[in-house]
Amino acid sequence: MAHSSADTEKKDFSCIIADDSAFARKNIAGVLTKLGGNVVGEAANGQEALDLFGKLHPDLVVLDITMPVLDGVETLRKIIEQDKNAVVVIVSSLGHKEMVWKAICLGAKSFVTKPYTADYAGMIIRDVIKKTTGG
Amino acid sequence: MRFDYINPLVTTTQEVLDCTLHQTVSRGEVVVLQGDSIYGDVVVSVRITGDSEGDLLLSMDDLTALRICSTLTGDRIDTLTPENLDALVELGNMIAGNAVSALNDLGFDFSILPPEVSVRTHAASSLFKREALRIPLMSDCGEVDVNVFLGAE
Repeated sequence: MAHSSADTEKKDFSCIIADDSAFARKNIAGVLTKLGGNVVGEAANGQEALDLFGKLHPDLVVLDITMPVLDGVETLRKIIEQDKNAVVVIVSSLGHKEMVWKAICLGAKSFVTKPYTADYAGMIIRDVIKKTTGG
Repeated sequence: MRFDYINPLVTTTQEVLDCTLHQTVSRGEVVVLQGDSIYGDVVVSVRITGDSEGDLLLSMDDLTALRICSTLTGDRIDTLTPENLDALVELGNMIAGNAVSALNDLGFDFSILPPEVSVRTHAASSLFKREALRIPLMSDCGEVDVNVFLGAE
C-alpha cells in the first residue's frame, strides 16, 4: 500500500479546535486526523476553548481569531498565561501582517490563513508538532 | 466609500471565492450603490469595525446558495438547514477577513465580528442610506453579490 509523506510522519497527539463555525471545525479536524491528531474537544468560542484547555491539557490548540464571547487573541493570551509551553496554532481569515505578528509575539507557534488547502495546513501543523515534540 | 478601499476589496473577494469554490470566478461590473436595498434569498452579513464602521453582505438566490454549500461541503445539499448554511457563514467570514486584512496591510485598521446569516429577509434598513460597493461575482454555482458598506453615512 502506498503511503504519503504525511502518513509516514504521523505522530499521535491530542488537540482541541476552537472556531465558531462547525463547518470550519470539521475541515481542520480532517487535517489534524490525517496527521495522527486525536481531536479531544471542540469549542465554538474562546471561553469554551479556555475551559477545555484547562480540563484536557491537549498537545495542540487550534484557534480561530474571530469568535464570540472571547476572541482568539484574548484566548491565546489566557492560554499562554496558564501554560507558557502551550502549543497553539492560529487558523484565521484575518491574516494581515500585524495580526500574525501579534499572535506569534503572544506565543502562537504558527499561523494559517483561511482559506487554506489541506496540504498546506497539514504541512504547517506537522512542522509545529515535530518541533514541539522534538521529533 | 473611499476610493482606496475599492481595489483591495474587489481583488480579495474574487480571490477567496475562486480559491474556495475551485472554479474560475468572473467579476461583473462593480457599481456604487446609494440608498439601494440589498435582497437575496440568502444574505450573509459581517460587521466591520475599526477605522470606519460598516458591513459586508453576501447575497444570493436559493439555488446558488445550495450549489455553493454542495461545493464547499463536498456533499449534495438539497435544503438550506442551519448546518448547511454554516458553510456560507464561513465563506462570508473568509471573504470579509481577507478583505479587511488586505486593507490593514495598506495601513488601515479594521476588524470583523462573527458573521450572521439570514434567509429571505431584507438587509437592515439602516444600511440603505449608506453608499455601498457591489461586486457581482459569477461562478458555475451562480451569482453572488458582495455588497460592502464602509465609510460615513
